[in-house]
Amino acid sequence: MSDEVVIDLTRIEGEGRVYVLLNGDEVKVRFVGIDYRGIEKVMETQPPYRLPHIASRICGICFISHFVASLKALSNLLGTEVSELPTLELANSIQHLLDNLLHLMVMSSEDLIRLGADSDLVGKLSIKGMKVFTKLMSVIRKGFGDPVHPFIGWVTKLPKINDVLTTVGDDLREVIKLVNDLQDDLTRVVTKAITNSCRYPGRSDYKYLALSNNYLTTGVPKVFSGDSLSNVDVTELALSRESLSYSYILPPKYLGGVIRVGPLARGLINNYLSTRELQRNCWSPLLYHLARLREIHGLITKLSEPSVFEDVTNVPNSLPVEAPRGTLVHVYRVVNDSLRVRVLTPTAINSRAIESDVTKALVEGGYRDPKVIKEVTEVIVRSYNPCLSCATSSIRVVVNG
Amino acid sequence: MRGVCVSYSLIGVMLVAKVAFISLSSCNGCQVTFLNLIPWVREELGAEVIACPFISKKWSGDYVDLALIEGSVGNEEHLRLVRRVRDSAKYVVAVGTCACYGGIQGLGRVLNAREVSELVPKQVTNKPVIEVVEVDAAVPRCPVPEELLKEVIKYFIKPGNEGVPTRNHAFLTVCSQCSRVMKPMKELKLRLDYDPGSIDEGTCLLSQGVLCLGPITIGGCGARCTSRGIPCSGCAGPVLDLIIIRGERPIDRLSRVIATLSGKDFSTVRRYLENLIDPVLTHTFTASSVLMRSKPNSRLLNLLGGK
Repeated sequence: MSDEVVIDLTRIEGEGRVYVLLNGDEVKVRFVGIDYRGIEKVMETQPPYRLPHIASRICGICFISHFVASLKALSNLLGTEVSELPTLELANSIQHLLDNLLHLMVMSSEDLIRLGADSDLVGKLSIKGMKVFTKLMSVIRKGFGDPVHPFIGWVTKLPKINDVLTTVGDDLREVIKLVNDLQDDLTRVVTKAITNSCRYPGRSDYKYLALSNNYLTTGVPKVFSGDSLSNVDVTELALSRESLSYSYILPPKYLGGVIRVGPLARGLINNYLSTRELQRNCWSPLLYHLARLREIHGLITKLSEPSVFEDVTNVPNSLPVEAPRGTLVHVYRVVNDSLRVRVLTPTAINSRAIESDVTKALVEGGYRDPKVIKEVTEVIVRSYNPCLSCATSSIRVVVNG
Repeated sequence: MRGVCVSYSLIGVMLVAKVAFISLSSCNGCQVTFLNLIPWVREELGAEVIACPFISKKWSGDYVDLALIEGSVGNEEHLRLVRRVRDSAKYVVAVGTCACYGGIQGLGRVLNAREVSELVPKQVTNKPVIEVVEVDAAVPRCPVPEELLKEVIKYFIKPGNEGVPTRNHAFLTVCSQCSRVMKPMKELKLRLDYDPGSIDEGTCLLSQGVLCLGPITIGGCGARCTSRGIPCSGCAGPVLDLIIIRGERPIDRLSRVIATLSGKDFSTVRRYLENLIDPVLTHTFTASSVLMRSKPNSRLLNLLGGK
């Protein structure tokens, strides 16, 4: 006889649900995007100049990454170049900092407490996290326009990075100070949580995909597998999506294995995390939190020395960008005189890994209590910081059965 | 003008108003705007945020003084949820264009609304919240501007305030806040794409022959797109009198403005626009709104296959 546990996810973006199907020793996990949005199809009806603005409406938190990915796809289609990459890199970096802080200090706070972190300290960090979030939103508004769907560029001239830094310099310095003041506490909380993460084991045989060259807006996409790095055609990955019968998420077909994207992949590919360091801990998806912590530190260092943003122009250009949750690509093509839009989102890429990790944790733990299954599932899924608003914006391919 | 009477919940010795944020089909952008206001809601208004799915829990059915709903109704679960919220909340506010007019995914569903077979809730025709339950206020725009949301929350939480603040903007268009100067068009020629480098900084985009939906779109956004040289795409939804006048269609209103700018007669301009502009361009954010569909000769009916 089989049992089903249904977990409605909260503290994530968009509407997500996990179905755990238990049948004897067999555990089947389905990570489900339950609400279809179809924005790819909407974009195909629009004049080109509107595309970046429509794209930024895919996601209320990764709006800059979608905007930049759309600009790049459009420029690629029209045979032009995106100007002012340093400005876009700055904007994307600020968005990464905002998302990492919000996720680690606010959205994951309950999970960190479950993992043994000091609840008073987590509570204080949560309040501070909201303050930094508010401050960063005001930096985005001042520097780039609207706080949620900015209109930097495309039909107007992109601002020069120096002009943006002149406008937001004082606010950025304040953010850097605020984050520096809380980094020790944040490190303590995350380190404690990682120590206790063995309850949530994940598979260790994944491949990792991210842009190399240490920038978020451009770079060569690489796949890290064990100890080797190889190039990958992310456009092909975007065009090779498979449709699922149980979800509006469209994961890509994999290059010989399950792929993870996001902070962990960026850290491994850009060498601020090593396999050896990670293996000192339990091999758990909670290592994403460690990667986020490392990324926050790196972003603060980068924002403290804005001259590094200028160097982004020396990095090889490519279509994908790094969104906070991982590699994101918009692909625009003209087929039979019609625009065709494909958006491959980080959560779509991670969805298989999420299912595999939850399955492994539940099988190894032998859990049968629905409350425990719910807790284990939530902690693992949230460590990926999935975004269902993004992942369900794609066109669904018809599935029978 | 209606009075406001908020019933307060007793927590310890303090009387605290309860606010819940509820999210349906959306990008969560309005919730991000609300996140930014949470410290203000707590500290300045002394209210308690009992649900906000992004950072705490989802609304569980408890009584609330103020329910803010973002997103459109996309499936049967949303439908049930919105009805329960209406039954449990003293005030319900539809926040953002998705909740008011269906938003961008409304068009997505119209164009491509097929089902997957298992585990997902049954999808329904995308509906704005305001078409499913009675709301106490509707605050469109994509996303809702922080200042407008702040005014609305304050109005419903702080007794003694008068008048729904957004009503002040309801009959104003984006053009009313745009600093660009309208000038006669040289010829009746509109472009759907153009070279941004050729745009004159201070002149109205329509006057320069660029399709801009400012004249038919509700104001209150500060005309931030057009002031940066980006044509309005109508994300805030239609200006209120365009909805009220049943026979008036967006393309008619736009034609009237362009007729004035170009010196051509109305019917010539309307014919020109109907040939040039696909209905999806004027209804990108409002395709699933019955307010727009029910207009006589609505161009949306073509889009919906005559339904």
